[in-house]
Amino acid sequence: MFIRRLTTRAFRNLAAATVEFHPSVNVILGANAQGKTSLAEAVYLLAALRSFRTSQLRELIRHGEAIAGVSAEADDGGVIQNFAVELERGPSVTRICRYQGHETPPARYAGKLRAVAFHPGDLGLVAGLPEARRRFLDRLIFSVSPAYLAEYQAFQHSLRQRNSFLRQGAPDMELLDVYDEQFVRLGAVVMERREKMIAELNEAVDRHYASVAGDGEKPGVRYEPGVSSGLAREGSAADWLRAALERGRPRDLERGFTGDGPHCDDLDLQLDQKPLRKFGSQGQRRTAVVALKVSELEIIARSPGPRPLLLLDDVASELDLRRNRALFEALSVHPAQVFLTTTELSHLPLGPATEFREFAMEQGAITQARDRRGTESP
Amino acid sequence: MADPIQQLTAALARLPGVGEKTAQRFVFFLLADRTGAAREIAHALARLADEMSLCRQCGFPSQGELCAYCSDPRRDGGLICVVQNPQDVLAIERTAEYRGRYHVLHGVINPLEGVGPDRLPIRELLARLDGVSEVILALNPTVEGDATALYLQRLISPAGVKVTRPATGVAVGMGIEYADKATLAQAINSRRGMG
Repeated sequence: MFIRRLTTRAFRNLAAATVEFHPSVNVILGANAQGKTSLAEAVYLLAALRSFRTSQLRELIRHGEAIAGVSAEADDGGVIQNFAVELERGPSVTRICRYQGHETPPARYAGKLRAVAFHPGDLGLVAGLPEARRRFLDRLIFSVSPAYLAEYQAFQHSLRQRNSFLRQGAPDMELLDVYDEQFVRLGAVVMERREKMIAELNEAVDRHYASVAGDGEKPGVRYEPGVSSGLAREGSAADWLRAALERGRPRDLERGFTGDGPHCDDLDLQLDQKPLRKFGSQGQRRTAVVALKVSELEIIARSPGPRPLLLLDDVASELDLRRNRALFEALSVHPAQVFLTTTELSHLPLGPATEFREFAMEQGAITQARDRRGTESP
Repeated sequence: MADPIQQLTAALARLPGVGEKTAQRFVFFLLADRTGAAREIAHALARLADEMSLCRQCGFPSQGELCAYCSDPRRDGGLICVVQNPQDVLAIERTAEYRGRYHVLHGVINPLEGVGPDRLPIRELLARLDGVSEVILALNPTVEGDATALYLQRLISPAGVKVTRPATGVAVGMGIEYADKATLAQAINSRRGMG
């Protein structure tokens, strides 16, 4: 699947225009703040129904406009597919999705077009907050198993109900048992999904890390369940979670919130069994993120569904030449349509045989588009 | 006294699913109507307010002490179906499959909304269990509906009464391709052997 042409309107600072994309590699070139990332963001919105830059969709609607829109014609092995997403300003932003011209609820639209984005903000994934890692993990599971979204939301909802119940004075213990049982049932589903995905990531990262790092250190992706330490796991995730809730009940009642569970999970990236978050150098962490993102693309690409588009937003300038080459090499294994933004063409290690289309961007408009071959001399 | 147009508009806008604009449309429709619809509706509304109360046994709207279902001797008193809203009773009645009685909770336990078990007619339900062989918990498959069902099950089971819940799954006559992801996933996970 690749996007043939894309049209935006009232989308950030982008001039309303239709862009004809290259089926494989597209390079968006321009100085900072000219709209390169916005164009990549428009492509991403069409697939993911969100932005990789911000959680506030209203930022995507141009100032003074009520509705922003992105639409595209994609080619799936010769079959034309039409996608459109509109963002409508309101107390909260409404997303209106259209597939083949028909309005489609977001939950059904999701997954018809898939994309993986890699942007400089991701480089903080290893050492940043656990929330960001949980989000990364959960989104990856959603893309591979859409049914997970409802499971995850049900779990979050039961967590909110249990917390709200804990804060009431003199709670009915019989009812607390019920909330525990529900929390265990829904939480165990989330834990099992995450555990399985982390095993897949671990296997993929193991293969990709060495090619990016170029040395023999042994990477690992470990699941750190949000069950407070000192409680050994016995039996299923549900049994473990039940035991943790039972043990933590007096504390939970006192504090008014649930102290154990998947909402406290973390994903730990390790090198030679040491957590990179604490001991890694910046270079090692970046390498790990690159390996993680390549693994993400690989896992999504091999799951049933359309081949994901790949967006690399200004990542090349953040990585050294060796990591860049390794990244591009690893990505070239997956024949996805790629969108790269950069300030300097020389940052991109595109081999001499690589055909690509270069778009020059200035003040939100594409001033030139031309087909080229390779950025590196033979 | 406020202008009748404004008064009725504001009153109608309190109804679920009716906004200011829709309320206004109703009001001007009634003003222009020459068939006496306004008086007819006013009369029906007054009767609704004056004559209807809730069945003292099951909580379904009723003109007398007992509703039509509780006072019908042909219904099986050994079977109670617990529902969240009175509309759920009508939905189950449309199937013409169920011949037992009902118990309407008028809500579900929801700590986030401040609804605890004491706000629901649960004691009334427990007081009805004598001579009952089965309680069907036909509560919505939401987090709140599930929690309420689990809670009721814990209170009812010790009385030696069988507790069941309706199955969830793919809608009859609706292709699998049209089922939403969550329903289909649940239907597949709780699949049954054949033969």
